[in-house]
Amino acid sequence: MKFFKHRPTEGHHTKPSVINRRKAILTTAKYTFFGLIGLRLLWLQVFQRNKYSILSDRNRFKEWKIAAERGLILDRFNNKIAENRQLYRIALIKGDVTDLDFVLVTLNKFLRLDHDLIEKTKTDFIKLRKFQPYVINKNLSWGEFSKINSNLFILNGVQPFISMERHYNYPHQFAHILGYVGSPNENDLQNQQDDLFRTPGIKIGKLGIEKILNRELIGTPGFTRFEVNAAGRAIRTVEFVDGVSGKPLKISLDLELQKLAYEKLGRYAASAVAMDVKTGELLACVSTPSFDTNKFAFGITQPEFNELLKNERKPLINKFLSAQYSPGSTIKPIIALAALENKIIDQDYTHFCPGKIELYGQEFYCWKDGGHGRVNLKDAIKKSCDVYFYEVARLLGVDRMAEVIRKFDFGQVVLKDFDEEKKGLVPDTKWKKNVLGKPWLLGETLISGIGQGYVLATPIQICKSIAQFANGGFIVEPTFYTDPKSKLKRMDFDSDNIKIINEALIAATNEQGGTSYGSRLTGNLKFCGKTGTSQVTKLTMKDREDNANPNARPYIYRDHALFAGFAPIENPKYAIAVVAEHSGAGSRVAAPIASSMFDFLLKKRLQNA
Amino acid sequence: MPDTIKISKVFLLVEKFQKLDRALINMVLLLGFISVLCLYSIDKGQTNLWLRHLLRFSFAFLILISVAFTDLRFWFRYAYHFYFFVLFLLIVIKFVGFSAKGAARWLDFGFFHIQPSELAKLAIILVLAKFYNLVKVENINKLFSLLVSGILILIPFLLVLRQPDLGTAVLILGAALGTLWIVGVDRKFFISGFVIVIISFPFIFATMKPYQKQRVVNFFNTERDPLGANYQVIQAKIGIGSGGIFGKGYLKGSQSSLDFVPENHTDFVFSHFAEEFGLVGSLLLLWLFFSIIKRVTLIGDQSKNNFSKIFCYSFAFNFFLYIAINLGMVTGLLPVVGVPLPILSYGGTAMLTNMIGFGIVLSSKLYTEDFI
Repeated sequence: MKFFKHRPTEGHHTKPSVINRRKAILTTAKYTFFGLIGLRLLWLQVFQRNKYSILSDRNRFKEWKIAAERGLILDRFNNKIAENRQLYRIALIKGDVTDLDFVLVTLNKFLRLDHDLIEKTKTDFIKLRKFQPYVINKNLSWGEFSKINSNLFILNGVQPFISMERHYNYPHQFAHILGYVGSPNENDLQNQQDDLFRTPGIKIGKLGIEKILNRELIGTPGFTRFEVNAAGRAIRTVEFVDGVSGKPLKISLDLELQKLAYEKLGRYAASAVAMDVKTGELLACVSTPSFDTNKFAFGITQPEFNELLKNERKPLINKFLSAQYSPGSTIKPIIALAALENKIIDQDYTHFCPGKIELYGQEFYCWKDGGHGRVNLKDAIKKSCDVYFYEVARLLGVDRMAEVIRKFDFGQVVLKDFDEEKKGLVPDTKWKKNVLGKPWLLGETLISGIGQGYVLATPIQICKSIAQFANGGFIVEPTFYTDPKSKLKRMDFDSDNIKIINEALIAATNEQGGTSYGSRLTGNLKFCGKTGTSQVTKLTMKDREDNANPNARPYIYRDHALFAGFAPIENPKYAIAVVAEHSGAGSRVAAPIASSMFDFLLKKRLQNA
Repeated sequence: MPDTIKISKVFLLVEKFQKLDRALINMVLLLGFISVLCLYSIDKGQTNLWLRHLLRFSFAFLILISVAFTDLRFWFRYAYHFYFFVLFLLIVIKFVGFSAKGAARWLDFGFFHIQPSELAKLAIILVLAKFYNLVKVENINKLFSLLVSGILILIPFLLVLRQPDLGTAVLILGAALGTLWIVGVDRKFFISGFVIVIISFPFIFATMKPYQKQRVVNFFNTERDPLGANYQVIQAKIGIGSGGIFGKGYLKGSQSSLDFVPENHTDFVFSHFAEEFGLVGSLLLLWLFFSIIKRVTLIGDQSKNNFSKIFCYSFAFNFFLYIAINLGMVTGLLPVVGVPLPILSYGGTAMLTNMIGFGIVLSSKLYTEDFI
């Protein structure tokens, strides 16, 4: 064969030389690559060492945060209204639980878990990462807790533990102000920049002050640092750091007054606001009916929640901030002030009240059949004469009226940091044209003069306005915090005009014939104020005839009862506004509630101080 | 005179022992020792991984010695048989092999799993060495010899690629190309081949398995998807980088012992070694590998026949390819292909192949005077 050598030795003289040359080239390539690897190692192990050391430690150590104890919430006399209690609970550790169904069936024997809870636990458990604890949403009694503890040997992966959980001492009374805490949901987590909310078992404020001051209350979580393996199983504890519990928070509310107001409002769908007229500190803010915030803290059941939602008296609504009412006659002091300021009338201006007037074929009634006869300003406020105020409003015009009403901060939020707070509404001609696209009618001016029609206000706005009369015409900012730095600023009203109206208000409660005379206090300290009865719907003649019996109409068409007043009449300190929905006349329902609150404040707080 | 024959045989054996290349044997033993230490440290002796590796190494070492004492002419004579036997195994495995991570690679022999694709690396070197030993030097670049060697290479390459086992297929091709280079195939073929591969890369990419595509994509974009396909490399780099100059110390590496580096005892074992022994240890290990390659090349130099020269150089190159691809992959210089670090990585067949290879190298030193 020519192609192949016939003897292996042949061709040796050239072949080895070819092979040698090629081998040398290959050896160079090997040197190069080994050099490259060496340089790469130098780069990784010397120049980038720090970066990789940090990454290695981050792999190696995991911090398990432990939620700190939430700050206490105290009333103005340091009574605890929200505190923390030891709770006995159990967690399941994923990865240590060998047979979830068995564990749940066994737990069920000791704890009587309800069916929904078991199903929820099963679905949630699947989503967990390995070795992540899952806290079962149930509080155990001491007996149950010790039973579980003594049966741990059959419950693989069950971890009993004691935790500090929020407890509200007066869950109904303070529900709308304090709010409640709960586990953060997806939304909460997304709105958060840092990972504080990812602390296992942490509860965050969901509503009210718990939400607004969440950061202050939540404290700083402690942590345990573990060495872990790649699967996340803790190998050993490296470090343990205690958390710092949240600061105790003192708020301006008065526990006793709050309890009293809650009791007095009773079965009404109502709200009451009490404040200090000089500092703006809110002393009581009650909205009824209420709900149990302790139930919310542990996740309320769906049927219970639905019941709250469906209730026509709206227990979930924070009525003193987010319910808007026609202020009714409680706005009359402001209308009178507007007329005085604009020099439309003076305090001696009189008008004849025949019981009703007619305008362009439409009839406008005074609340009192047959009318009040000839009344001056003081009598008009004292007796709450509607015809007098129709006339004043007509003379004043809606725009000048609206300007003064706005100066009392109607039409804007008062507390600012409560998301649910409503602004109310102060109508004028421009507003109606822009929003409704219609021209303003004179008839609407008339009913605006008695706080009906488009005008809307929240109870806290009404309380603030009466407080600003009480303190002699100074702006006061309502607040829940006892902050001494609040400075009083004069409103640009003539203080004589304020005095004229205050005298009329004093007469309304303390002189015979006044609308709230029946609720007056007899001691040497007295209160005064303006009643209001705001109509929810236009009254028919039949309704007027039935007026003696307000319950004749269906609930949602009944009048709202309002009262706004202050005390004591000399050197006033407290202002209170009460609104009771669909309950009838302000003088009959709202004024007595305010009266008993004033009674408490004057006798227990002012005289004792 | 049976006694005399017996005695002379014993003398012959002793003589052979004395003629064995001690340096190479010592270096291989040192590598084996390091690998057992390293595997012990990975799980701090919690499993008997290190013990199993030690047994395998000892078994493979016995094979190495027996191969070394086998006459080189045996390998020369049966090179083709061996090649076709491996081809047969590669085809058989399509039907009876069982799957490791989705690829049919293993053949179960009860006590020992054999990966025929590993043996194919050895077979391709042997068969090419024998073939080119016969081809006259002036005919090396003729179409006929190129065609034959091309077919010899492509059959096992494609069979392994279809398993699919990209790493081993690349190594087979690499080892074969190394052999072709050494025997003097014209460099224009290499250059044009390289150009063809570059041009056809998009088409090759299109036929890849999804996970292979992923690896290629990840290689060009390493910080992407840190918990997915790139996880291995990132964790391996963390292990190496955090080792620093002197390492964290023996049994003190946390990356592998806490299971952060997957495959830490097989393909990514170097990451653990570098974490515990640092730059100094890594460079010493590199030096050891390089010395082994140099020693094998030296034995090729000393050999007096072309078959063993071609084999030694090719095997040295093959051994180098293992190290280069593995270290390139672990340090993030190359894409992740499943190539073990010779002897150091835990795994049966790869070690067996390399030890048989060393055996043949030793044998070619022992029988260097003999003509083929």
